[in-house]
Amino acid sequence: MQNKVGLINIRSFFKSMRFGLILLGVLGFLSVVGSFIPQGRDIAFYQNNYTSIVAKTILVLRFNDLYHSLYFSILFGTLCLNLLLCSITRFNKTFNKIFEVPDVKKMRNISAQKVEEDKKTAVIGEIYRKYGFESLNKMEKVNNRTVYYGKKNQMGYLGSWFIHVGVLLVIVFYGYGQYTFFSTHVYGVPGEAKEVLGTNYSLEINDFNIQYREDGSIEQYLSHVNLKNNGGDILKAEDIFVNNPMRHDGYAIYQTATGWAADIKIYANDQLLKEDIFYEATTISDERGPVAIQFTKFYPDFISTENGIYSSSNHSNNPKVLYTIFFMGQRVAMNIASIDENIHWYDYTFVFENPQMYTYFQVNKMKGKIGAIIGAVLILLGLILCFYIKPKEIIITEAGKHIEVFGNNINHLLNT
Amino acid sequence: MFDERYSFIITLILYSLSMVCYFTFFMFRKEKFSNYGSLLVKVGIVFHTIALTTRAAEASRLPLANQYEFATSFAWGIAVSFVGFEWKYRFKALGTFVTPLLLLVAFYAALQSREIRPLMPALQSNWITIHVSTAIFSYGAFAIACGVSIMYLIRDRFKQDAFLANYMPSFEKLDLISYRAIALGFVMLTVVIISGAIWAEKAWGRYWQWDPKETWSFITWVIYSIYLHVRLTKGWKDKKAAWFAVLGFLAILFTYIGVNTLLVGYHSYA
Ligand code: HEM
Repeated sequence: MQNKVGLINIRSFFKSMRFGLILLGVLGFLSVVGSFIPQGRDIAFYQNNYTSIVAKTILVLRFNDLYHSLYFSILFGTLCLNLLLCSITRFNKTFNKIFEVPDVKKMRNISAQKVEEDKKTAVIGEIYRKYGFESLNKMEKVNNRTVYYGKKNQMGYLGSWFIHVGVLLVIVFYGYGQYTFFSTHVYGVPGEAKEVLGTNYSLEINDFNIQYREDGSIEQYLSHVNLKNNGGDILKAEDIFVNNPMRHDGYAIYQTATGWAADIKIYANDQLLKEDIFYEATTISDERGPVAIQFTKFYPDFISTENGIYSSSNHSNNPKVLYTIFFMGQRVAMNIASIDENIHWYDYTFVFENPQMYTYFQVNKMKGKIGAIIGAVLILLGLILCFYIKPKEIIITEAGKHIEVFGNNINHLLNT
Repeated sequence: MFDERYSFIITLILYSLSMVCYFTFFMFRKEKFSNYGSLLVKVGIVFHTIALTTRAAEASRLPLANQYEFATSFAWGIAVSFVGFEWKYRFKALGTFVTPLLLLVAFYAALQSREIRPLMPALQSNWITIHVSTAIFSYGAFAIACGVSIMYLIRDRFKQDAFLANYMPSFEKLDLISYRAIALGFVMLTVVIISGAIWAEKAWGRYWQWDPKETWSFITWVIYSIYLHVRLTKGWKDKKAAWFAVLGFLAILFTYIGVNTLLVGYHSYA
C-alpha cells in the first residue's frame, strides 16, 4: 500500500510542472557553464589552459563537450518525457474546457440588478453585447433560474498545450537530426568533377567566382555546379553561394570556404613524373621515391619588406608560392618561387602553374527539419493563443426580476 | 542635423536629460518633471530615428549589422517600447526605472566603432532582417518588464512610503504590466530564435549548434519561461516572479554584450 502511494507520488511528480521547471533550470544552468568553457577542443587544450584540478573536473564532467554529453541528452530526454506525460494528462481537460458549459461557481460575480418583466430580454441582450459576446448559445433551467451563457476565444485554452507539444516536437526532431547527422566536404577548381564521399553523387564544378564591391570588400562567393548521380546524369545545375545552398534529396551543399590552388608539374631528369592540382597547405609526394613537396603558402600579391613577406591584396598581381621540399620526411629546402619558375632540387624539377582559387563545399544531411519547423510553428501559435486570445465566459442568470451577471476575464482590471 | 553623428549625440544628450528629469521627479517629488522627462524622450526618439535613417541611407541597408548598429537600434527599441507602455498604462514613475536601462545601452553604442562596413556574405539574408528587427523589440519589451519589476521590488521594500504608493501603480497592476511586456518580449524572442535557426541552417548548415550566442538565447528563453510558470503558481507569484524578470534582462544584456566581448563563437564577428 505504502509502495503504491509512493509510486503514484513519483509518477505525479514526474509529470508535474515543478519537475519540468527543475529540469529546465538545470539545463539552463549547465548551458551557462558550457558557454564559458570552449567546447570540443583537444584534451591538451584544457590541460594547458586550466589548473590541473579544473582541467580534470572539466574532463570528468564532460564540460569539454557538454552539449553532446550523455547526461545533457538524458536531461533533455527526461524533459521530453515530462512534457509528454503532462500533455497527455492535460489533453482531456484542455479540450473539455473548450466545449464545457462554464461553471458559475468558478466565475466572478460582476453585477446584479432588478428589471421589469417586459424589459428583461432587451437588458440581457444589452449586457452580453456590452461584454463583446455575439450570441448567448443556450438556455437551461437550474434551480428555477434561467441561465444564459456565452463563450468567446475558447481556442485560447489550447495555447499552453500547443506550446508544450511544440517544444516536445522540436527537441525530439532535433535529437533525431543530430543522431543521424551526415556531413562531408568537397573542394576543387573549375573544370574538376569530384565524388561526394559517402553518397552516390558527384559534383562537377563549372565555374567559381568571387564578386567584389567597389571598395574591394567581398560581396559574394559564387560556384556554378552540376550535381550528378552514379550514372552520370545531371540531377541539378545551379549556382551555390553563401546563404543559398543547393538542396537535393535531403542533402544540402553549402558554399563554405575558398583558397588557392595551382597546377603542379614534377619532373625527374627532365621526364614528367606527375601533373596534378596542388592545393595550398597540402603535400604531394612522388610515389616512387622519398621526395615530397608541400605547397606551404600562396601570396597572390607578393611583397617583401624588412618586417617579412606578405600579400598586399587578394588579387593575383604578383603571385608567388612558398614551398617546402621534404626528403625522407626531413625538410631539406624552403623558398619562394614565381609561377612558371623551374624549381630545381638535385634531379628533380618542380613547376607551379596557373594559380586559381578553389571552392570548398560542405555537404550535410540533417533529418527531421520539417518536424522541428512544425514544432516551432506550434510554439509560436501556442504563444499567441495563450497571450492574446484570452478565453472569456459570461453567465447571465434570471430569476423573476433578478438578473445577475458572472464572468471570467471580462471587465478585466486593465481592459481599457 | 542630418549628419548621423550629430543627431546621435543630440539623442544621447536628450535621453540623459530625460533621465535627470525623471530622477528629479522621483527624488524631489516634483510632478511636472516627469512631463519634461517624457517630452525629452520623445524628442530624443525623433533625433534617434533621424540618426538611424541617415545611416541606413548611407549604407543602403538596414542598420542592423554590427555591434554599434545593433546597440543603437536596441536603444531605439527600448525608447519606443517605453513610450508605448507609458502611453498605454499612463504612469509617471516608469521613466525613472526605464531611462537608466535606455542610457546604459545607448552609451554602450556610443563606445562602439561607428565605421560603416558592407555586409559580409553570411549576413546577406532576409532572415537576418527578421531576426535582428524582432530582437530589437523583444529586448525593448524585456527592458520595460525589468524596469517595472524593479519598481515592484522597490515598492515592496518601502511599503509605507505614501509617495511611492501614490505615484507607483498597485502591485497587481505592476505585475500585470510586467507580464504583458514579458509576453510580448517572449513571443518576439521566440521569433528571434526561430528565424536565427533558419538563417543558420542556410548559412552554416546547422540550425542549432550551441554556439555561445545561441546558448545564451536559450538560457534567456528558459529564464522567461520559468518566470511565466512561476507567475501561474500562487505561492510564487509576486516578488519571485519579479526577480526572474530582472534576471532575464541581465541574461539579455549578457547575450548581447557579454557574449560578444567575453566568449568566442560564430556570432562574434558581428
Ligand atoms: C520548455 C519550455 C516551456 C515553455 C516555453 C512553456 C511555456 C508555457 C507558457 C507560455 C504557459 C502559459 C503561461 C501563461 O498563461 O502565462 C505555460 C503554462 C503551463 N506550463 Fe509550460 N512551458 C514549458 C515547459 C513546461 C514543462 C516542462 C511543464 C511541466 C510539465 C510545463 C507545464 C505547464 C503547465 C501545467 C502550465 C499551466 C497551463 C495553464 O494553467 O493553462 N511547461 N507554459
